[in-house]
Amino acid sequence: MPAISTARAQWLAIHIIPLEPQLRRWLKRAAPHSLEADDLIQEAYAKLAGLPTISNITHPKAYLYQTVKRLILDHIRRSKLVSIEAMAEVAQPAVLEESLTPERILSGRQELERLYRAIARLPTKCRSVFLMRKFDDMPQKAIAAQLRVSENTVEKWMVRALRMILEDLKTTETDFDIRAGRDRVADGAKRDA
Amino acid sequence: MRENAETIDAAAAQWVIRIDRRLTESERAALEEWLGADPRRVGALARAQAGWVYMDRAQVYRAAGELRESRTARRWRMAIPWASAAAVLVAVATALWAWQGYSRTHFATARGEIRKLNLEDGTRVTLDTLSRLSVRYGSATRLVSLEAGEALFEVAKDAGRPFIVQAGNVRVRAVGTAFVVDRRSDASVDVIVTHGTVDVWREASSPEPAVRVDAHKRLVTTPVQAAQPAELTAAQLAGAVAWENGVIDLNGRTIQEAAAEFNRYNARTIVIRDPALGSQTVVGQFQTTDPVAFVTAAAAMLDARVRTDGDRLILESGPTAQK
Repeated sequence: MPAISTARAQWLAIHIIPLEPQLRRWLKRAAPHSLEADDLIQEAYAKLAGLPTISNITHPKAYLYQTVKRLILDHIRRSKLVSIEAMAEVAQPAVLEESLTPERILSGRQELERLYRAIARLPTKCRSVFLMRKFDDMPQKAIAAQLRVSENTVEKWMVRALRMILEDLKTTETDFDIRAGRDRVADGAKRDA
Repeated sequence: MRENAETIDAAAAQWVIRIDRRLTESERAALEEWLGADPRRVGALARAQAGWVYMDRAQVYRAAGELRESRTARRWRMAIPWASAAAVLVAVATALWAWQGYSRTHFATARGEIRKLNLEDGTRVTLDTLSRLSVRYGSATRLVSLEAGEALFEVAKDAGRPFIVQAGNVRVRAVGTAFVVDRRSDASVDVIVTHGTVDVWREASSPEPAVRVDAHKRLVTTPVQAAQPAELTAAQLAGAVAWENGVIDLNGRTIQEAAAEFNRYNARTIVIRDPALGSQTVVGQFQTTDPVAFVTAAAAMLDARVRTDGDRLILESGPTAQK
């Protein structure tokens, strides 16, 4: 793949993607409201993708949080009027580690279940092409031929599937189910705070 | 206009799927151009590619027949609302605490102390740090003298006995209302009205007309002139009485002003070595009793460092110690 190497994508998949839900929760609490979590996370991935080597990173979680904190500090230093209260949160790594209670860290099994549910929720057509590509290892062209649709259509469904799953990877199981009952979102936010 | 994260994520997902079926030469060039325009795009693409790889984990569910059909929906059980029990306990504890210190005529607070007083008529007074107050209730007036510092008054209604606060030569009269009188500064008396209405005037050789101050307004009286009341926003009002709950609200104050505020409450004083460090304005809320949290945050923000010297927390230029 251009842009980033497959090895780097795998490293990010193994070490960083599973940390996203907790990182987002922390950002919601700790980052200044003027900063969007999605922007910060894109910037963090850009930094991690741009590193010449990752072999020296022994603690990916600590490295990720350190990267995000630096990004926040850079933003804050550039702004005129800033929330120093949020700064207090960013400035103290110890507090951060304590806040990660065990149930918030997904086990490998929970991760699989989460992915399973994310796939199960996809619209039928998106799910079919996705499973043909990922499980049956069929090239997009072959999928198009078998389903008697254009390659463009297959591409469109796959993009949709990937986007929905990427969206789901932002949250954990608990967050998902709250979203299913949208009226509970506010309660979820309170519980997280 | 800045491209939002969602738009970038959508484009990134599209690129990943195209990469998966192999890019044409022209697409390859288009991708390079797209990535070059904003570092966030590189990040979004990296994330989408990582997500794409991450999904390979789902191959564990190779018996995918089930997946092809099902849509799971699990019941979500709400957590037991323990929070309300805790709130009741806190309320009871606060009430007991407020009940103490009844019916004395002189009150004073030490550094860092914020004290709630219940006066005999039901009026509640919250006395801020380093403040002194004396109370004289007569049959015609309820007279309270703020000798130093700052106090919040929540005045019980008694039409027959006006409630009057003396602060130097400034007088504040209320019937049933809540307001703050602040005479921390030698040069002025600051009156902030949270509910109802008060009249403010100065005792002088020649009688002076009172200025009426309504709720959500603030009046600063100086020896020279009682100015017109100024409107406060809800946030400003909340900030002005935040100390009642042991909170310092740095609503747009400079680091220097904030440090002075913390120093009113704490024996550990914040010293700002370099004046340039003190000029940045900030927003945020801190516990009055936690100058360390504030000064640590300030140091991180300014890329400065904190040195401890006895009871002094010194904020000075220099690299932040990275942990």
